[in-house]
Amino acid sequence: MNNERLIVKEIARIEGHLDVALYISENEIRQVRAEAVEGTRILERVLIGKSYMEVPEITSRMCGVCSVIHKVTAVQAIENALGIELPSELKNIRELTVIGGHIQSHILHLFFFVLPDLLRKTNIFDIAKQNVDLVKRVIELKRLANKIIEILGGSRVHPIAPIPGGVSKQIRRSELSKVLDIISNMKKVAPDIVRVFLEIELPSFSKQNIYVALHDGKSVPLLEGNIMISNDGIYKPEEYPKLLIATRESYSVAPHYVLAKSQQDYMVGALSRLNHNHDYLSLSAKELCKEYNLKFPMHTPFANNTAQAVEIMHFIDKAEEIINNLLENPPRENIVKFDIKEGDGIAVTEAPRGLLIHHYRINSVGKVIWANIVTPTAQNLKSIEANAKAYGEEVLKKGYDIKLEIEKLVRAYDPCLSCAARFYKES
Amino acid sequence: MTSKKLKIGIFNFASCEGCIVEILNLEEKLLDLLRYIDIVESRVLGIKGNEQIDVALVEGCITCEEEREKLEEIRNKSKIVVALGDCACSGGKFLFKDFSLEETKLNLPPGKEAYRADAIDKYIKVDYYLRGCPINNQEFVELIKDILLLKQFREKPYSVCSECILYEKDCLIDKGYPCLGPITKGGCNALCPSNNKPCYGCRGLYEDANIDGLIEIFRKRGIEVPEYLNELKNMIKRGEKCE
Repeated sequence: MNNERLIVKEIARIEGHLDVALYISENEIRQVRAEAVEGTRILERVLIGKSYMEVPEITSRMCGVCSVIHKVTAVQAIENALGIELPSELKNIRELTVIGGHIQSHILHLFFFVLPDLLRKTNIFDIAKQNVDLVKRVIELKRLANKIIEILGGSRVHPIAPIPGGVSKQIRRSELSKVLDIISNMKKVAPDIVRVFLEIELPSFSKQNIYVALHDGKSVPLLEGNIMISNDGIYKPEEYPKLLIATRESYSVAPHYVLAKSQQDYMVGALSRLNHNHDYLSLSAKELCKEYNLKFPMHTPFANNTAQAVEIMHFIDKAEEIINNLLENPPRENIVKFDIKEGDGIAVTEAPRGLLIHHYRINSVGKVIWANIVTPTAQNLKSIEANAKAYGEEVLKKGYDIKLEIEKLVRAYDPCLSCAARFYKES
Repeated sequence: MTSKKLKIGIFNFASCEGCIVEILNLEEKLLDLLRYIDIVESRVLGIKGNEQIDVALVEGCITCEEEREKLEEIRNKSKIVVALGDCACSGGKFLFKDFSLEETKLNLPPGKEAYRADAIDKYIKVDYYLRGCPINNQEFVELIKDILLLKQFREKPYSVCSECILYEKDCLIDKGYPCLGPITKGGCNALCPSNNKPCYGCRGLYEDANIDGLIEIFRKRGIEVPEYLNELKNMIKRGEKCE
């Protein structure tokens, strides 16, 4: 095989459009390009001049799968810019909404997008033809997770309730009790279907990566924490501009990120979260890890799926803890008072797909004058390239179907190009 | 009804894919629906089809030439084309509310020289529109039922405001919010106002929308008039499509 350019076009079962080009000569892969080909929607530009209240409405539209976290992260960044501090009950409501979003996103990715690979099917409906019971239970768990978002957030996709200063509506006690029931049902449904995922053997490929995730030394944090980088250190959220840099590749409409200090690629997502925070998993998630002999840190992008499955169990336990807190201490008010003022606000959170940064500057009348959003997938693109090169070479040696294997590897990252493709420069 | 299943294709251009997520959010109902429909093509779901399509569901706006070409291919192989969500229906105008960007010169990656976010009906004939951001998935079920019964799917001939009244919700304009419910196409069951948040107008203008009347009401009540309403009026004056 001489100087071949192999393109894995429009990878299926991911959010958005991504091609991966492999430049191969003599069974060696010289270069891999993750080419984001999604139509660019230049969302940061659209935000300029908009009122602070509109920002979460618009940024939520970056992604229909993880709209909850985009909305909440934007809301938190605006609150940081305006100096708004929420009482813990309202923070709890938000975190619970976000957990609902993370669980439904993980289910969508694991069972609708990845499971067909593992069962050698092309899609979920094919699986349903043989095992309708499994698919029904998966759908039931997804429905329950969505129900949490619906009750607390007002709607499943692009939730309505999270706004700067709190939530738009008063959450009633009866609604909180309903959420408790939902979580009890999830605890019944989840273990079996999560196990389905853990029982399947992953490809034997391993590579040391640098993992980046939020860390607070006491939990698997989603909405607040410091930025932890493997073999490096722990940094404050405000330090992000000196930690990560965007590079522009001529072949991609998404920015590609590397670490500023080492210029190296890095990985964000469920695997990074658990590699850094596995000590703080819930009891039942830890038991599950023990049962399947899973030991974090793990060093293969394919383990990102394993981490997502473990996280589903952890999130359900976390949700139970939060709802019990809320029932004891329900929010007295749905919104805190605040004044509009000039400000600069950064929020760093964990989206289902990994570290997410929203950063806004607002003028004295509450209009956006500058915006920057760093999405997980944009950060993972360089890691996808590096791991596709390493894994691709192994696959070539073994003589497997390289296109299919590269697709599987890319899918393991759970990429979302809708989020990542926003590159533009004002000329 | 014939025994043949309806062949559905799901396609997406520049968008968040939230409308497809909402279709999947039909959960068990989708499994029921699959007794009558077959999804024969969808990249998101991993179904690579190449057959003729009865109903093409198209999500997202058109941002470049390549997407326009793909859109035309979809039209050519489909009997019915449905625009899914505000991006496909209006180019995302009603959600993003930015009309000035089309004139902004941006330095985009190769092949994407100018900023565009076009509704799909700028290039092809669209048979039905499912409005909103995201779509209301119950309306999607209605649409499929209508097609199966050889009926015309009808958009709601009333505003979001009427739905709020129907559900006996408190009026947000009375509370001092710049709610766009009175001028916005109904069909979402007044979802935002029901959650105590003013309507943002994502379903586009309803046919009898009285923008001047709404501005007048906002002024009388001391509610700051959103700049967007004036832009909308200019658009109508210029004779541009406004739904």
